Formats: sequence, C-alpha cells, structure tokens
Amino acid sequence: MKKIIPFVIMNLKRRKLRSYLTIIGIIVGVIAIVSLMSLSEGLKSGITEEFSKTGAQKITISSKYSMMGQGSNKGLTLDDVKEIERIGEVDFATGYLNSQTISKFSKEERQLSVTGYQVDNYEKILTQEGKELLRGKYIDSDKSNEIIIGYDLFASDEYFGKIIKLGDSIEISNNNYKVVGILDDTGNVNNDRKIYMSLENLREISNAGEKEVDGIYAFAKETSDIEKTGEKIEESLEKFRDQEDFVVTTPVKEAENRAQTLEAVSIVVVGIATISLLVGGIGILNSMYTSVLERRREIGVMKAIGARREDILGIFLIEAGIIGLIGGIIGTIGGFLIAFIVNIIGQFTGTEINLSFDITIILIALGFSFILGLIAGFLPAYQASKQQAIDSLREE
Amino acid sequence: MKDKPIVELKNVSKIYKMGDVEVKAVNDVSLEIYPKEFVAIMGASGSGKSTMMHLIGALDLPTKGEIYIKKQKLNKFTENQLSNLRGKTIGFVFQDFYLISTLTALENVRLPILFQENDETEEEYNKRCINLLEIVGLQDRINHKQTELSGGQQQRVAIARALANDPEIILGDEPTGALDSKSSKEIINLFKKLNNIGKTIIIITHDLNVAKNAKRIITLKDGKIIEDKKNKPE
Repeated sequence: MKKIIPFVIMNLKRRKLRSYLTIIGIIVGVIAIVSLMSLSEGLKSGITEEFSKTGAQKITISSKYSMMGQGSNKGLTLDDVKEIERIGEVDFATGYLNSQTISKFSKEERQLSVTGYQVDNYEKILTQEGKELLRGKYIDSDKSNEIIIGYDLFASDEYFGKIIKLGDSIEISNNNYKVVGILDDTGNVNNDRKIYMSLENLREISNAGEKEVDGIYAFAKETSDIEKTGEKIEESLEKFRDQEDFVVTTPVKEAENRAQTLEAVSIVVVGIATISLLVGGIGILNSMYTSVLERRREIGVMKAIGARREDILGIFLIEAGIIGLIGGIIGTIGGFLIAFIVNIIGQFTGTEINLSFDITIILIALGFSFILGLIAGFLPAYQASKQQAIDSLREE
Repeated sequence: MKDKPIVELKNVSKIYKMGDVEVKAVNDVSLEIYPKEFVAIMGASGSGKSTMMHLIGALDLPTKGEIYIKKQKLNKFTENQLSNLRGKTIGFVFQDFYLISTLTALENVRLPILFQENDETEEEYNKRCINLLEIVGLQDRINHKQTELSGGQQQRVAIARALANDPEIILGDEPTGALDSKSSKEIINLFKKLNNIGKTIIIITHDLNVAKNAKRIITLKDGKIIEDKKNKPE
C-alpha cells in the first residue's frame, strides 16, 4: 500500500483544478469549525480569567422579579444591604442602580449608561471592579451631584465633540452634575463609556422608589471562602425577607453561567459550521464519482496488470483521504489565522479572548477532515474496486 | 516443445446472453500452448478472438469447460486470485497501448510492480524498469510522457510495462492494430526478440502479415478453431 501513495499524489496532480476545488470545499468547512471552536474556547477562558482578575470577592444579589422583567416592586432594598453587612464573612455591601440616561455636554446629547453606588465605600467598590482613578477623587456624599466618568469620555471627543475634563458640568436628565473623577482605561468599552454617581443622586432621576435598588454587591473578606459566603448571604437573606425571591451569584458561578451560555451558543455555531464541512464532503463524493467514471479504462488496465480489489479501493480511498487531509491542514491554519485576526479586533473593542492554539482542536480538525474524506470516498472507491477489468476493456 | 502446456483450454465455451438469444462467442474449444511458443490467433471480426484473449489472459472465466494456466485450474479462482495470476504470469499489450497519459514512460513501466509484493528496493526496482526500457529501445525516452512519444514508441513502453513483473506469457491484443507498417515491424521484431529470450508470445490479430511472424497460427471462425498449423516465420 505504501507504494501506492506516490501514484495517488500523481493522480491528484493530474486533475489539479478539480482537486483544488474539492479541497476548497473542505477548507471552508474546517476554517469555520477551527476558528469558531478556538474563539469560543478563548472566550470561555477569557471570561474565567476576567472573573479571577477582577471582582473575585464580589457577590451579586439580584431580585428574581427584576430579573423576570416585572419591575422592582418586590425587589431588593437598602434594608437588605444592611442585613447582608451583618454577616461576618462580608467586608461591606452596596446597593446599586443602573439607568440609561440622556446626557448633555457642550450642546451635544448622547445616551449613556449611569451606575449609582452607595457612597460609603466608593473607592473600594470601583477598585474591586478593576477601575482605578486616573484623576480627581471618589464620590463621598449622597447629594453632592458629583460624578466620575469612564476613560473614553475623557480621552476622546467622539461622544460630545469635545473631551470632558475635571470640573466640567454634564447635564443628565435635566440635572447638572460636576465631574470630580476620571477613571483609568480598563480596555472594556462598556466600563470606559460609563458615568458613576451616588445611589441617591441616581434615584432622583430614575424610577426607583425609596430604598429600592436594582441589585446588591457584597464583597467577601476572603476570596477563598467566596462560595461559603454566598451561601451564608442566601440563608440570612431568605430568613430576613421570608422568601427566596432573590438570586445570589458568586464570581465562580457567574463565570460558569457565562461559560455555559457560551458553550450552548458555540455548540449551535460549530454545528452549523459542521454542515458546511459535510457539504465539502459531498464535494469529495462528487469528485471521486466523476473520477471513477472517467478512469474506467484505467481501472480496467490496472486490474488486467495485476491490481486486486483492495489495491483499487486503496487508491481511491487514499485519494479522497488526502483531499480531506490537505483541506484539513490548510483549513486549520486558516481557521487559526481568522481566530487570531478576530482576537486582535476583540482587543480593540475590549473583548477578552484568551486565544490558544489548542492541540485538541488541531487533532479534531485534521482527524475529522481525513475521516470525512475516507467516508465520502468509500462508495466511489468501492464502486471502482468492484469494476471488472473485462467490462472496461470490452467497452473499447 | 515437449514441456507441459503453459496454457490449456479443455472443451471451453463462452456463452453470452443477449436478451433471449444465446451467443456462443467461443464454442467447445480445446487448445494447448507450450512454454516459449510464439502463437498467433487469427480470425475475422466476430470470430471469437477477443473472447479467446480474455479467457487465455485470465480476464474472464468460461461458461463451460476448463482453463489451466501453469497447471492451475482457473475455474474456481476468485477475482483477487485471478488478479494475482495475471500480475505475475501474464503481460498484456493492448491495441491502444492504454498508457496513463500524465505519467512518464518510466512511471508507466513501474505501474504493475505497485500491485506486487516483492523485496526489491526502490533503486533496484527503478534500475530494472530502466533496463526494460533499454530492451525495447527507449533508453533516451525514459522521462517522456505519452504525448511526447510516437505510436510505435508508446507500444514499446506498453511492452516494457508488460515485462515489468517478468511474466512467462506476453499476450498481445492486436498489438500492431494502431500502428503504421514501419512501427508494426519494429513491434513484431520486439516480440520475436522476447520469444528468443524464452517468453511465450500469444498474439491475437486479424492481420495475416502479423500472424506470419508467429511459429504457430491458430485460426478461429464462429468461435471454433478451424485451423491450427505450424508456421515458418518470415
């Protein structure tokens, strides 16, 4: 069989155009699979790393009602925050509100996201979330009408046609707020375009009722006990609220949840990409059938000069397998290249992708494309092997 | 000539069914061909020559009767056993050469060896194929492709290919049918040369001028042997 391989390669070379076109079919499928698989793995690993880097001590408590989009009537309140702060393992907690507001600066209006925290631990909260102050100070008073802006609003004039500096005043929902702090670049667009103010200031311009909060962040004293702390908050809050109408999410859980969602999405996407690879397989099938038909006489001659069934089967199977393998190799390289380019784009837009050239993905892609080639080539190869020498010679 | 026959047909018939009609392409033929013979099987179109060639070449099995090649009865042979026998014992030379156009002369000659188990190294194997091309007078055309060779040269490559596994029988099916008279003469001389070095040559032809070069001429008509005579080659 070893002797047959150079002969098979010669056969592929003599039908260059058709071989190339068939290989392209496989390349497209493999590129799709490899790029999507490696991007999805990279994203998963990126999420896990991001959670371990920032907010490792942060536990999020959200109301089930607000999560279900039923407003925050029965939602969490500042009383819940106080209750959580009583737990020994909790360092401190804050209620937060989020709002999309129309912000006006220098006669330009933009919709911006505003987050409000309780002022007691403003520095710790932002630091825990990986947001460092670049200039100015933190907010320390509830009704101060002071705000901290994300890095992009300071560094770029693309939002308001003018950059915002310390001491500038921004009109948010018809109230004026003074910029007292500017955050350093976090690399995350969502953070860097945000405005931060006190919880009570935001309550004034949002629909939240007295004491109501969209959610609570609790910060654990020890990162290692984060799961345990989460359980304690759950127990204590259930007792305090007399019902389990809230959800406690620890960083580990959240990373898992996001990774799970991503996993589900990637299964669907890779599934779709697999269909394109199967279409490539049908391309091989088509090409091999044509080849068998064209080479009837050649098969007859080979049989006449001593080729056995398995020799003919081998020739055509190896041919199909090589098409699959070459498509797999080029597709894998192309797939990683595309993933690499997407990764670079991701870095510009602040999406954390931990791209790595996983050997498992390479082996899966190469193995799958080779086996696909063999499967697609089997029927034509079997048909060729069954052909009787005499039939081909008699056709002349 | 008193050896045991290398090819033996005993009351062989080959019957094809064409709808309800049975056609006896070869009808109760018995024939013995001995090692080192040079036999021409002659006949007009439809006389059963090609069917005879297929039967003698182990490409087909008879409907009735028995076929022996080198004393092996072929009737019960599997397809792969027939392939093995052909590869080792019979070298085919076809009217239209049947070379693979994209391969060089040397690569075409190497083809039969792909399908045989042997202990030869790549180097020995190449050397032997080059030697075969020298025997047929194509030492300066080793790396030429089919399109770069004349009809006669192509047929000589085909003869070299037929010799690749050093078979005892060379079976030619109208081997000069597609050639001009000069090339035909060269090919016939090559067959004579091979016969002189001990190969059994069997040529199927309708051309008396070609048949005259054989030492024995068998004439077929309607699937039967009507004449089997010794001949003094020209």
